[in-house]
This record gives sequence, C-alpha cells and structure tokens, in this order.
Amino acid sequence: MTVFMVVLPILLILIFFSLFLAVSKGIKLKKNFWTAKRISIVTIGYIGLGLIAFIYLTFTNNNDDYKVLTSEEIEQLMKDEIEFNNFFSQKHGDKFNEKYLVDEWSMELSTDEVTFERESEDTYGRVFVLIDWRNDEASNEIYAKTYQIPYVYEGIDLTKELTKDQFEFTGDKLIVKKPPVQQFTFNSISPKMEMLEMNVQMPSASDDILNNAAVGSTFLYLNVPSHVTIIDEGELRFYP
Amino acid sequence: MSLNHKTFPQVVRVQTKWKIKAYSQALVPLLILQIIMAFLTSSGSGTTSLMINQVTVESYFYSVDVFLISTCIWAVITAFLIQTRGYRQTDLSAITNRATGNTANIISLIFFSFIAVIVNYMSLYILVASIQLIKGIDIFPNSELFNFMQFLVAFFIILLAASSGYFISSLFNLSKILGSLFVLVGGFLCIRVLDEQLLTIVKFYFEAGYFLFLVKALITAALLFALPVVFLNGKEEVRE
Amino acid sequence: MTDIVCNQVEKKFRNKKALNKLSCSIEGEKIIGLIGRNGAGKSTWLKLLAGHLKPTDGEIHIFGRNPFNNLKIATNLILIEDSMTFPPFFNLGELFDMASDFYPDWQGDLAIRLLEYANIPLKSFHHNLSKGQVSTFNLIYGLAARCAITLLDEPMNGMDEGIRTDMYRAILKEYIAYPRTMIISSHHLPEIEHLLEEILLIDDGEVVLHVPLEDVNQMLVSLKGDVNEIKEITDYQDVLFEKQDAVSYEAIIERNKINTNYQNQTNVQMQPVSASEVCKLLTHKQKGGIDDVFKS
Repeated sequence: MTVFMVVLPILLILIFFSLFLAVSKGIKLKKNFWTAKRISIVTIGYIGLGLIAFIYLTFTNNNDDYKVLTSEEIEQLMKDEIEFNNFFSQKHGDKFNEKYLVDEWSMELSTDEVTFERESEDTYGRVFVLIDWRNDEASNEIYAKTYQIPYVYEGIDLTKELTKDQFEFTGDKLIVKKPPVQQFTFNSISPKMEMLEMNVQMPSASDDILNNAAVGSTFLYLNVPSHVTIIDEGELRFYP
Repeated sequence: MSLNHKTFPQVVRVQTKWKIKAYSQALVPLLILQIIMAFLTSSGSGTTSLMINQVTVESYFYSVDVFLISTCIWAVITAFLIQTRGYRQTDLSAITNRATGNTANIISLIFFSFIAVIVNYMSLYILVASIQLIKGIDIFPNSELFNFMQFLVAFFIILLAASSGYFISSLFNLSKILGSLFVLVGGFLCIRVLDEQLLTIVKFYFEAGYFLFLVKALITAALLFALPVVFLNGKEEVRE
Repeated sequence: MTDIVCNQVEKKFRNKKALNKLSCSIEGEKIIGLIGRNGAGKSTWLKLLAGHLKPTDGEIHIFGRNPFNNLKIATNLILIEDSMTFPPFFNLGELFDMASDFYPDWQGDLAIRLLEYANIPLKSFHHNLSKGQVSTFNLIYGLAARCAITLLDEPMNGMDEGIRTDMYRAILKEYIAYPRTMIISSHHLPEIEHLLEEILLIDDGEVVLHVPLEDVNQMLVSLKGDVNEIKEITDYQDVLFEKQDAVSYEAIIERNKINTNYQNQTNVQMQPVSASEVCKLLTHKQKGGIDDVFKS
C-alpha cells in the first residue's frame, strides 16, 4: 500500500509534466476547452465548496458522546492524580479530592471475610484500594467510595467506556473486572502538517500533552470494620 | 511623431495581469491532482495508536500533508515551465524587457502559490466533510479547523518550491550546461549523501520554530527569485 | 534627428558572420524597402534593431539609445516576423485586448475590421491558422499597434495574391493616417515599389545601397545591340551583366559610365533597368546568368 501510494503520485506527476511540456514545446491542443473565465469560475467554485464544507464542519462538530479536554484540564488532572497517589501512599484517604467522587456504595458481607480478586493478571493496575478500618462490631458492611480520575487517552475522555462494571461484589468477593478489550477509532482533522510536527522539536509542549497523555485511575476507598479479614488475592492493596 | 513612454512599473503591471490570465491553465492540473489525492487518502493521511492494557485508541487524522506535497511538485513543474523558451518568446509580441518579463513571471507565481495554498485547505475540508456525509464517521469534536500560522507555513513552502523551479529553469536558460550540471550534482548529492544532509537542511529551516521559518523561507525564496532577474538581464532573446 | 543609426555593426553567430561592418542611418518617417538575397543578413539586422539580439561589435542607436533590453525603445518599436508567437491560451480577439493594454496607440476597431475583411474569425487561435492567415494577422497586429518604428520581416509570406494587394493598400493607408518609420523586408520588390521611398540593399552583411527609389530606377541601363558598338559606348569598362545571344549582345552598366556621345549614332537599344533588376544585379556574384551554369 505504501509503495503504491508513493508510485502513483509520481506517475501522475510525470503525466502532467509531459502534458505541460508538450504545450510548452508548441504542440497545442486543437480545441481549447478552458478559457480564463471558465478556469476562474471552476477555481472559485472549488474554493466556495471548501468554505461550505468548512462551515458544515464547524457546525456539526458537536459530538456529545465523547468529551474532549483541553491541555490545561489534562495538566490539572495529572497534578491531581499525583496528589491522589501521594495521599494513597500516605494512607490519607480522607484527604482525597471530593471532586472526583463518583460513587458511594456499600457491600454487605455475610461472613467476616472478604476476598479481593482481580480478573486480569497484570499487576500494573489502575485500581488502587485503600482500606480504612473502623471499630464497628455490629455491622458487616463495607462502605466504599469510588474516586475516579477520568481516563484520558489523546485528549478524549473515555472513562465511561473503560469503567463500565468495574467492580462486582458477589459472594463476599470483590472482583475487579478486567477492562474489556476495546478499540476506539477516531477521526480528526488537523490543519497542520503532521510531518513537520514529528520532525520538529516544538517549543510548545501543549500539543504533547494533548497527544500523548494518558491519565486515569480509580481509587477505591473502603471503610471496613476491624473484625473483618481481608484476603487479598488480587493484591489490590499496595499497603495493607 | 511623438514617442510613447511607459515606465517599468506600468509595464510590469500590464504584463502581470495578462500573464496571470495566460498561465491560469496551470490551475487545472492542480485541481485534478487535489481530487486524485483526496481519493487516495480517503482513510486518513496518518494514524496514531495508543495502547494501554487492553485498550487501543486509534486516531486517524486528516491533514494537509498529502495535498501539500502534490502542490509542491506542481509548483516546481509550473515554475520551471513558465521560464522555458516557448513561454518566454510570447513575451516579445508585446512591450517587454528581460527585467519586466521576469518580474511579471515572479508576481504571477506568487499569486498562483497563494491560490494553491487556499485550494489545499479547501480540499482538506471538502474531503473531511464528504467523509462525514458519506461514511457517517463523526469527525472528532473540538479539533482545530484552521491554524493561521500553519497556513502561512504552507504558503511559504509552496513559494519555496516555485522559486526553486524558476531558478533551475533560469539556469537552463542561461546555459544548458550549467543547468544540467546543477541538476545532476544536486540529484547526486540528494541520493548519495541522502538523509543526513537533507535532514540538516530541514532542521535548519524548521528548528527554531515556525516564525523564524517564515523569515528564512522568505529570504530564500526572494533570493531564488531575484537571481534570475539579475543574471538573465543581458541575455538575448529571439524567436527561433 | 536621425532615428536609427548603425555604426560598423557586426554580428557573429557561432560559425558565421551575419553582419559585417554594417553602417547606415535612417531619418524621419518613411517607408524603406529592405532588399537582399536570402541569407544576406536582413532578418538579423531587423532583430538587432528590435533589441532581440546584441551586436558583437559596433553600435546601434535608436532615438539615441541602445535598443537592447530597452523599455523605451520596446514601447515604440514593433517587429513583425513569421515566427512570432503569442500566448497560446488566448484567441485572436483576446490578443487584440491584450495589445490594447500594452500599446497606447492601439487601433482596436481598425484591427477588428481588417481581420473581418480577411475572413479570419476573432475566436480562432493563432496556432490553428494557416500560413497565410498567420501572416495576415501578424501584419494587422503590427499596423494597428501604430508604433513609431515598425519593422516588417517578409510580411507577405504565404499570402495569396488577392489579400496581398489588399494588405499593401492597407499599409499605405495606415501610413498616411499615421506616418511612421517603416522598414519592410521583402523579396517582391516590383509589388512593393509603389510604397517605398528608399531602398536599403544589403548583401553579405553590408549595406550596398541606401538611396531613394527614384535614384535606383535611374541607376542602370541595359544596352542591346552589336557587341563592338556596345563595347565602345561603355569605353571597355567592366559591365555588370552581359549576355551573348545568336543575334545580339546585351550588357548592363551604370548610367554614369556611358559615353553619351555615341548614343545618337548607333542602333544600340538603351533601356532602363527596373529597381528589382538593379538590386539583383548589384548583389550578383557572377557576370553571367544561370544559363552559364548549364553551359559547361
């Protein structure tokens, strides 16, 4: 395909070149279809069509399904994620930024044991669990708070797609579901010369953020009664 | 019998007006080329892929790249042909001077380069809008549709291409030996010494950012355009 | 004021010397006939005047300026020749529009009417015309431009008889309406004689003759009759042309070389020589005609 892509334009160029050369050497076309007026009409028509397309694209550019974040927002997200990680390692679950709280739920335990499982085997996960113990003899409930930092790939907020049914609680097991194998295809228009973008070390780093940043983590803040034992098969907690 | 007097600017103005009309036939191959290029890149002129865990995000983007390359080739060929003998001899049928003829040529080339860059961008918009209409793929929201700096950069790239074509053609005009020597040596250098030198040249132009590129490109194009005016001034011109 | 001055002009191409120390000067508004053999250097000289070529030696001054690459000269001079090309994109009508933008004295209406008269449609293209039509168009273009110096290099090439006479008349009428310096190079001197004021005869890159037309007509006489008588009349000087028939002997010599005393006493016929014959003879290499080639 790439070879084809390279050869064909050159072939076309050669055809046009020879045509032009023929004209310049004096072999003139018998019937001159193009006059100055016709050419100007065609060109202006083409440009006009382009402008209509431009206006059309501006106004239909409101795809609600996926939210796009600006580079400033992404930078802010990255900072917040680092902050979250810090608090996580310091075990200050109470300091988690409430802005990212998405869900508050509870798990009712039938026994005194709860197992954490992870569906997928990779240890590098984006789900972090922080446990806070409370002295509560009476209940077997685990209160959970889900903090979600949006999953952003190339500036697109894909959180919804990636965190569907992330947690499942059945039979005293907290299962972190494996994120489905998904492929997203997006088309974008870029009035830039991508070739140059790749070759040039651009002083402005804002585009880098937009194009390369991938942020997103889920923090699960559990409030567990102290009498409950946790069997952490999935090694969800870094720090027990 | 009183003598008429026409000044240099007057003659250049009239010549440019008529040359633009006379050379407007060059726009036809440009438009056809754009349409062909549009068909060839209907699935996007490039992709980026990001894969984290099991999630793949593929982003196809449409950019002016491919149109720009074809337009540059067109500009080189057109500028080359404008300075060939056939076209130059038609100057003699009206009031002309080597300098006015060359200057009028240069101004018409600048004009056509400008039209070409606009046509490039319009092709991009038409292509993306047609993709959106026909295939129903939504174009990524909030992506930038027009970037003025990039527009200027594209214009200057085309201008550089046109000025190089014009310069080489003028060398051929000055002396066929010199012209062929220049082309052969240049081609030889490009092929043998290849990536290294070319990359250095590209780096030299684009390193320090876009604005400096504009300045450098302007100086180079001005030089390449002005030199033929100077060294062709004393050349005889006959209709053979 | 002398309009055109050529001083020892030389033009050398790679292996051939086209013009060899050509000097002349042309003054005022008149129609001059540029006569010469093929390859004498007429077209080269016209191209030098027009500023298309540079002389390798010597100088040319038109209105006191060097015509090469000179805008002021280009505004007031036009050279019409066979190989004239126009931008192929325009049809004839558009070419006239273009000319009206360039030449301040352009006669658009006249040009259109002339073209109509010649049955050439305005919408046709220059490269699609026949040879005669091309010459006609070029001539109309040159005349309508009304440049102070109009150079016509064999303008009647390829034209048929009818249109040729019409075009000669057109040149005359245009000249009367707007007098200018016209140099017409032609091989058909008899046809063009009635237009010309002066004759400029070029041979081997040099000016052989530059005199008014009447002088040329009076220049040579043809003597026909008995050999010895003619030899006496001519005082045994060198003749320009001689032919020995079975019956009589013919010789052509300059009028001023004849001994007029003998004129009345002999049976020798004295006839004037036409200008074209004069030009032919003055540039002739050999004394005999082509018959001599076939003799031996």
